[in-house]
Amino acid sequence: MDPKRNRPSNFSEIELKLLEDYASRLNSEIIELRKNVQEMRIDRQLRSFPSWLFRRVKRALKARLSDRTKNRIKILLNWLSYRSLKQSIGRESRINSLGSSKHDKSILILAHSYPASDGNYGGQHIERRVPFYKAAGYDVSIFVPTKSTRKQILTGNDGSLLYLAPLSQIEQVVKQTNASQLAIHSPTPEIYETTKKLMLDLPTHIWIHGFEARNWRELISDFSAEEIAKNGKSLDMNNVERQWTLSELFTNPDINKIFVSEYMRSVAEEFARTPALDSQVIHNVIDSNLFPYIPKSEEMRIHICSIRNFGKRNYATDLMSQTIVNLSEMPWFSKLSIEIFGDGKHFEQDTAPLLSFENVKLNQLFVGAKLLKDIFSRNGIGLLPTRWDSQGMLNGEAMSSGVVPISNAVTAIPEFISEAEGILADRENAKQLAEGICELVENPDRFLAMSESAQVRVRNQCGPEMTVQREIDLFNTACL
Amino acid sequence: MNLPEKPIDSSIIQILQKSPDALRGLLAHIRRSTGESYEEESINFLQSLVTSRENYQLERMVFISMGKNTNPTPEFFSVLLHRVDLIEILSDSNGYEILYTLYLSGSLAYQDNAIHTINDPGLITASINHLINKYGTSENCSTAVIFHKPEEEPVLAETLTGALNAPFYLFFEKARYNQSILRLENAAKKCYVPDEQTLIEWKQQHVVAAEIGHPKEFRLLAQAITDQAQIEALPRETSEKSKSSDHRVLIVSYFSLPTTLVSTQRLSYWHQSLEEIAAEVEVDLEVIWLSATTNAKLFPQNRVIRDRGNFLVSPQARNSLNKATSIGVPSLGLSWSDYVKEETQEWDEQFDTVIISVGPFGYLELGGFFKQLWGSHIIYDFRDPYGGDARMVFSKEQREWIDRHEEDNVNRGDVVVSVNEQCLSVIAPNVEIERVIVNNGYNETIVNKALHTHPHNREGSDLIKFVYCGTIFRDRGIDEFVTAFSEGQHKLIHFGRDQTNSKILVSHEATEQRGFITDKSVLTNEMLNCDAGILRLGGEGTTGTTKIFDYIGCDLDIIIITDGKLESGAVHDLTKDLEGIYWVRNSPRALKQFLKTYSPTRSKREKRDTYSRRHQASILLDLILKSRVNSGAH
Repeated sequence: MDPKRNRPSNFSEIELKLLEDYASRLNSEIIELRKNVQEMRIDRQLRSFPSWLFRRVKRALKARLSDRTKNRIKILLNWLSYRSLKQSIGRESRINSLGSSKHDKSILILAHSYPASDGNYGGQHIERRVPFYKAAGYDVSIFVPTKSTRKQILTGNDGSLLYLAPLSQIEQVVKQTNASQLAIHSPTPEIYETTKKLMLDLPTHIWIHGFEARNWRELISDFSAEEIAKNGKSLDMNNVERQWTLSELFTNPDINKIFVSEYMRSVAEEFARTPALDSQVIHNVIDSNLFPYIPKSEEMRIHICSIRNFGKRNYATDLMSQTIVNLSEMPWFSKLSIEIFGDGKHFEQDTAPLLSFENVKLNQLFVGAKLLKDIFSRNGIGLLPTRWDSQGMLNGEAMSSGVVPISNAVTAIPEFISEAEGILADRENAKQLAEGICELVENPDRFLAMSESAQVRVRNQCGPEMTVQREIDLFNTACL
Repeated sequence: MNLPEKPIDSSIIQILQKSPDALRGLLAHIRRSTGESYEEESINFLQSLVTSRENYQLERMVFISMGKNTNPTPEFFSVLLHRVDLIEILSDSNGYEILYTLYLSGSLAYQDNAIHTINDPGLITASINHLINKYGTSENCSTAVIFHKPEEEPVLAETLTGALNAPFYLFFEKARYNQSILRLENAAKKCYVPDEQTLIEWKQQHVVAAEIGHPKEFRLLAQAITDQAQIEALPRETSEKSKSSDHRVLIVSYFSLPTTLVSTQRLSYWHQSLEEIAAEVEVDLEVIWLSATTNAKLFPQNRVIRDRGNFLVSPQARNSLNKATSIGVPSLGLSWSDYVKEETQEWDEQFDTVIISVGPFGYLELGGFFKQLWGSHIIYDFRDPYGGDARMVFSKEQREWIDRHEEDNVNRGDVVVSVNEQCLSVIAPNVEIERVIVNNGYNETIVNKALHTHPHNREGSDLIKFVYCGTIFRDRGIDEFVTAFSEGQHKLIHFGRDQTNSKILVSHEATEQRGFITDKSVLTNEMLNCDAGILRLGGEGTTGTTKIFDYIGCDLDIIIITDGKLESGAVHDLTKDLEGIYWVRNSPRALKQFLKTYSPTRSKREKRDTYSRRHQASILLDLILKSRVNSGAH
């Protein structure tokens, strides 16, 4: 985007500054006015009354109950929620089989990638949500923008219809799917430009996950010197365009803004230089049905797994490898069984130091949900170092299975793991990662306690009730 | 539009320069067209200016008038200067009409107008700027702006002067006061009011000294501009050291000298004395003071960055400024912060320590900025509490904004200093940061000089002399105290204003009112002839007062008369370790009882020197030098 485009050339710099300032103030006033009008709408106030009442009662009860009683209620609510979701899935499938359609509850998800029958693995965090949306009665379709001009319709691993097409065709797909709401994951300037008009007609929800709301220089280690020299300037320009996009989205009161962690919200607000109006923090769901907890035995602590994307440096595969080299100095190292899964451009380089260890098994492949479940069920410790994570879903899925995570206390990780549920090393510290594993190997009781705490924490913090159910509530409110 | 009669032709300028008669002719012409008349003295002055025209440095004048301009000053100056722009801003219920007239070398060259129905200072300024630029301007041309009646549209006035970005002179008709006027007067070269009465009203609220004057008095205006040019042309004394001092300190505050604010005294002392105190410990310190006060430029080791108002800030600052303005939190300094950031990035120098002295509080974020820009050690000087100021009432939204603003910025600093423990404890209470008391102290230079140069006769007299310095506040009268005096034994002298309706100070035999004394050394001499200083408290704990230091400096006993709890609050914290401190409840009985037994101490306190400004400044210096040690500088 060229900011100088369309400017009459006979204005001085000062005049342009004053005119831009006027436009910006006018824009803020309009947003404020629209917000005030929304707040004044009686129908919205009435609709929000039950949830307001519920929140008040909940707050009042919370203040009176003991921690123990609160915990029991939480467990009961979780159980009830699972049951009702299970039942509604059954009901929904029966209704669908009778050919009934519910176009007023139809969502089009716009995602940069989605697991599909063509072997793509990206977008698993979005895929995890879909069964719950469907269970709540929503028709869900997914739109993945492509560069190819040809539109392709595939089936997602969960059976959803997946439209692969250029962004310009999104309006057509909206019509085709009768979508009544738009759910955009990681909005970029291109997506915003194309969907701006749709946002006026359809209730819209945006999810901020990471790359779209941070400065590329924060992860500069992902770029080679040549790449920086070649693309640095255009990446900087991208930064500015993303900032503009986010600041417009954040100040639009008609859009639901969802961040996957408090950390992500603060990073995004700082990046956009604008607070996100009425935003929510809703974590990615960790589905304990997909990653069930089976209590671990003491012996499981010597079974260590690491599942990482070797394509980017923020997944710290070099630290993972260095940690194992450090561990090899321990007398009991040969008793450990270590499994490594993943692929990407750094795979060969990062796993080279491990080739000589017989107890380290290298698996150069991407892992789907089913295989992941098996890996976690046969291991006790997850070596999952990181340099940047907006949530660290893999940690959560490991914890849900009772696997104790070993990671770094960086970015959003401490929001999800405390010292009671895992071991967090300092930034870039492979020595502390190795020491963490030693601690668990040498203290079986501590390992068992952490495994138990980990699965409780993740269910309480990232279970469906605390995550997708809140998203569904937003959809329901928008439906009314 | 009807053009007025052409007042002067460029071809006669040469004649004017040579001929006094021609000059008289010109003045007669101006008189005809405006109805004004001039004295012989003014004619002679004009003649001298015209004949020395080649020495006149100014090239251009922009004359702005809220309402129709009725005086001939622009035409007069057009004889002297290459270019004069006259902007008349007329407003009615339909909006604004802007009349623009351009004089080039004494001739009317161009006229235009613009009409605005939207009352937006930014848009109107853009429009005026556009009118001016139509005829082409040179950025390097030396310009002065004259603004008549800025108080009618102060926001427009500050945006316009900000956009023109040239030295400006303000001619007020009324002594109105608000935030925009405060910014304007701080940024102005000079302020004028029309008469004595307005000047009295002006002095009650404004922070910049004004003079009596009207824009029609071209002599005054020409003189002011000439004087200003001469002052600025003077070679700067060898004040600015090379930029290779051991340690460079930047004091940042919105106001600086010569504004009349008391708060600038504290910084002024630091500015003047820190280098000297540091030299005693063999540290070559350089202290520079950065402010938004235009006339601070006239003093050595000052830097000035003008606050150009809210409408010319960068896009990055716009959102937060709009947010602050819309929720109505105090915003003075927010826009300045943005201009400082823009300009200091271009400086080819840096500072090891930056002292951000607040309030106003809008520029708190400069701490984090300078830390990032130069890696400076940041000291926040809170002269008053901000979010924790119990005297301020804020809404929930305002409170959240202020608390966050305070906390986020203090978090980026290294040390917080303030005048007492109570203030320190309410500044960003959740932030873990080093907190140090740096009090104001008494001015030891004045007090010591007075002690050594004048004989002071306190010993051997039976008459006990009390002194009260400063304003006697409406709710804290001293009638009970005076009533408790015994005839021939007690006397009270008051320096300052009396806000109470009581006549006791006028009518009582044992009292003397000396009024407001601006010369501190005279006041000190008077105080040295007394035995005890009076402090009158209402009972609130956070009140601290600088007059305590003056009493301590003059070795006076201190009688603290309070409506509240004895020996409590900030005053007690400050004086608890001193001899000669007496707390008395403000009741006739308690006061009578006290005076019956009171006998003056009349001796120097052991810890007196620790209450001096120099001692307090040396605490600050320790903080500055500590950062030097920590950073490994040498």
